[in-house]
Amino acid sequence: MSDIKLGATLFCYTGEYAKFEYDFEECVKQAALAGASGYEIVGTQMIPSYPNVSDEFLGKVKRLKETYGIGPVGYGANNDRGLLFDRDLTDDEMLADTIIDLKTANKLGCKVMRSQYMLSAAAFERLAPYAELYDVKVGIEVHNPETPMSPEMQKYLKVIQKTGSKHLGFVVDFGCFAIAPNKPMWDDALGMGVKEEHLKLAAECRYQELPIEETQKKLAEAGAHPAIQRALQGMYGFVQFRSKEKLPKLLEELRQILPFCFEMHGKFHYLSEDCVEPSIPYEEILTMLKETDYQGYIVSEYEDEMNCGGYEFTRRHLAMERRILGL
Amino acid sequence: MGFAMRMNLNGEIIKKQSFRPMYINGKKQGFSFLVQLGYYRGHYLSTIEQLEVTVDGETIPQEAVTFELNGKEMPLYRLKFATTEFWSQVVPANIHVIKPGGLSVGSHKIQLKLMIRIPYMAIGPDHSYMPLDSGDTVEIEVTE
Repeated sequence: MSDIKLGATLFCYTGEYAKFEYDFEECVKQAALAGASGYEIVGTQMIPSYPNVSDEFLGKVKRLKETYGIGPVGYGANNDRGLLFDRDLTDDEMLADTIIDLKTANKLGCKVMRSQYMLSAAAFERLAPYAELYDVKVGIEVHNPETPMSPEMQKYLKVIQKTGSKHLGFVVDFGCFAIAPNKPMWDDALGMGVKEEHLKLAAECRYQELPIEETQKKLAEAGAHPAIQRALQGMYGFVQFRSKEKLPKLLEELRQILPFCFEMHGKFHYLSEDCVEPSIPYEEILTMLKETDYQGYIVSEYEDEMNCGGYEFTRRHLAMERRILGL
Repeated sequence: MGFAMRMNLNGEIIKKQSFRPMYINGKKQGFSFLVQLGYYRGHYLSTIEQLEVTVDGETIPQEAVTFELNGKEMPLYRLKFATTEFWSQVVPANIHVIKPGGLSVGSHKIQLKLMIRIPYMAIGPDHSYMPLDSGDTVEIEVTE
């Protein structure tokens, strides 16, 4: 039987935080008020002495837990392979940096850490004994355009199975199950004078999985406004989507890696007043997940493409999850 | 220039209210201003690929510009080696510009070119990363 806990990443409040409307404490407070029972923290975003964590900050985290009832459950690590100006970091160097992340996650009391696929499968394999020492489960993020069983992710699956380590696994971002265009980018394009018929044409081409060059050609022939480019890049990039007929297969992929999943990122870009995400099929995803043996957090993750802040949408997202999961 | 990401979350990268004259031996010989990184997270200074200040169309020589963060003032050529200096997106950096005579009374157009390599967003093999444009241009009024 599943045991799903609902959390939120403080990244939801990126807009408020960058505008100095919320400080770290306010982010924690808002996550708690939205209904999260734990939070994820992105180190590069909110840890003042990144990549290390100071006693002062730990004290604050502890005090906020006493005040608002929630503490960090997931550590969002970044894998900056392009740190140096003249070359990529080697596997040795990437591994060493990730061990610093483990120390920080461990100090914060996070049992799960999100890493990114810039950390190669070979370096990930070598991380296992360290992750075990610190008792932090490290999940490679499965993020759109990757899917749970895409070739790139299978490299990590092989390592997880080969090592048999209980500390190596995945964090799946629900954005990879998107079946419709990203609403903020769509609305943004309309606002810049792009005609809806041209956006629909672009979406149709994407559904048919035409190469981007062909879609660009069709749009040019149809006389589409150049401002459609951003939406188009999104459709073929980090917010790409597939046709609804592909969803059962994608969810089957999720089922295959589920025994190795430590956390889910409940990605959302928009939530209507009746709490529906227009591009990510939450009903299908959560209904399926509820019937599995998944035990862990779904961490709500708002991408503030609308630059309106995460206050309202995060509340709606958690309300939607509770409704579907019957929590 | 090709595609570069923009993420001006705060709405203000160069803090317009932060301009201060720089005095050398009691005389106005330049100015300084604060800059907030235009991204959702912080970056190591070694990911800065270009930093250039232009005043009314005139580019300030690189050696006359310094970057101050967390109490450490650095010449620009060192930034690319600064792999342990982390620039938080909520801690503005102070840019100091030596300009003999300082900014004259009147309005000035200050442009900051600031290009960063997003170090976890590879867009190809062999050290090819998504460029971030965190530059900004402001018009300021110098009254005295």
